[in-house]
Amino acid sequence: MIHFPRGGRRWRLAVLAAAGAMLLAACAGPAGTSASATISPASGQKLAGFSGNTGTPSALPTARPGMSGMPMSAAPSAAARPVSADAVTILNFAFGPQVITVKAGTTVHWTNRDTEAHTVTSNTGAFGSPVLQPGASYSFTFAKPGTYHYHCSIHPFMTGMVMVS
Amino acid sequence: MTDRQIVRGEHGMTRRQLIRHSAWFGAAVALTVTGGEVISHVAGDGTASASADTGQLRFVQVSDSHLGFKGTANTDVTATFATAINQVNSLGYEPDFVMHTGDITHLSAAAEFGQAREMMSDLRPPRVFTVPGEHDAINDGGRAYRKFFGAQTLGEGWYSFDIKGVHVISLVNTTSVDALGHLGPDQLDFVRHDIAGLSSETPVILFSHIPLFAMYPKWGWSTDDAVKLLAMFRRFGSVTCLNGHVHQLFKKTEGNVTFHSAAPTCYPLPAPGQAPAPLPVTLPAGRLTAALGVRTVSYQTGSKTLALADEQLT
Amino acid sequence: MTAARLLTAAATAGTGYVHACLYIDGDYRVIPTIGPAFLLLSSGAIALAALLLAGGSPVLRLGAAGVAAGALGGFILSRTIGVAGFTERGLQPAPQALISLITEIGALALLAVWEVMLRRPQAAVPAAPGRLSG
Repeated sequence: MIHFPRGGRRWRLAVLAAAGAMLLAACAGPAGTSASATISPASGQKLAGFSGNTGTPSALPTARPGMSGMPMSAAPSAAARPVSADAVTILNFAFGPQVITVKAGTTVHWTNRDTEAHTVTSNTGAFGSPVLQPGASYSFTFAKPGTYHYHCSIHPFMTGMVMVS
Repeated sequence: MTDRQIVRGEHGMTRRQLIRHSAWFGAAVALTVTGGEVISHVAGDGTASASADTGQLRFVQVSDSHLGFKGTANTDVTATFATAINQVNSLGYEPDFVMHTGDITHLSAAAEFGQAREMMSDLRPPRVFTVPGEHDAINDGGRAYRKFFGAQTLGEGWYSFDIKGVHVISLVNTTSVDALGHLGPDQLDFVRHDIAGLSSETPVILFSHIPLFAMYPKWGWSTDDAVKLLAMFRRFGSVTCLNGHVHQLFKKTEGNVTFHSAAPTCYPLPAPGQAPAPLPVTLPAGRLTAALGVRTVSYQTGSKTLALADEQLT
Repeated sequence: MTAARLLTAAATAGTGYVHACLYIDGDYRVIPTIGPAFLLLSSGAIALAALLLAGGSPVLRLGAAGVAAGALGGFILSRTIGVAGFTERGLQPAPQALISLITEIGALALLAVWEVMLRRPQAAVPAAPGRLSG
């Protein structure tokens, strides 16, 4: 038979339960504060309006100004909706559109319309802008086909992707 | 325990050992599945958009889609509205909500309302709000509008809510038959009670279709009892009014209140006084989308002002 | 040996906890393939850690080694050739990346030590009938 030190199945279960509870409490912390994002109808009312399409998860992490950086290149394009465009706006700590498709040889323009400085930095070093103050722009011509992930080197959670065909 | 012949299997394992290993393996699998369910459940409960964690309110305003309009100023208002919706969905982050400030339809037709509702359900943000324009309340005081968009609203379609410490009030000033926008005593009472308990530090946003200031009364671009409304807000530090109706960008500050009119997604109107009447302007080919747009607004907890960004339709 | 077992449980639990938090917070949850992988890894790691508190069966030790090696492998792959198209840089996200590195390498080291201890001839405690370790 298996030897249980310190005796008793009950002790084991108690440890498991405690560990599980602690894990959930700790990790559910951030989820708990999400209550502040909910829309609370004013007293005496129920919530008006209707639901948008949030059932479709975007594969791309949403921007988090102020959080310690979590840079990740854009996920495989299957989940993001690529937009055929050659201009990207930097606004609200995000690149919009986040995923664009262009033909080889296209010049893509980034314009910083945010209130803070940002950069456009390729994850592989293929291209990189200087620090773009609010209002500044940066352009790069994508000669070779491929998928180019980029991010802002000041706020690495801001990511984008250029798909060149 | 008596000696027993130990039967070893192919891998040198006794049957007892096999049973024991399988038991541990089974327990591990069962616990993993349970753990997976629990973690998924916890994760599922917290699916508010990530902007929740930062206390930064970000929302989008679209306006004046006029679905059902036919004319040279825009030969396909459905397409330009769809473009606007795509633009909102491509922002690179998920706004906390979208507000359509009215004239959703052009003729208050059920088919137009239905189409609008369907198209707007594709918007990525978790909640979509609306206020009716006068084109949404033709001949019925807003009844058809309320059927499609008035769930849980009060009176003619007004309501209020709080999000991330900001108080939002949606007003209806287009259901009366006056030449100017009109709020009415019931709605004013509603607002008075609604803000009674708010601290003066609370930022307030007021949405309406017709401007709440006298932008150009001659064309009906004003609300006759807005002065009474805004008097209630004198004690507040940050009051922002966002409206549609005038199909052009316009900003004005009066005391502690800032007014922003939004660009439409259909066609532009002339600037005040620049034409005999506020009729749709047909622009030269290729110039239309530059006159249309969506607006993103962000508000950082603690700061007093909203940051607006008006983007042209691409 | 009990110490090795409990410490391995702790290290494995640590790996599971870090990945569970990253999954729950949402940034990793929405990435195709990686998200579900994180879920599987964290639930498996926590399950194994819990069971390791109760016993040190070879199944559990193998499982813990697999979890640690798998997590470590994923970490390295994501920072080199990528995993299902997903790549990351350096020790971001901090501090989770560093913590998980420590727990995974620690778990593997502990398991190795434990294995060595198991193979060493037992000191003079005779195995009582019916009592088997693992």
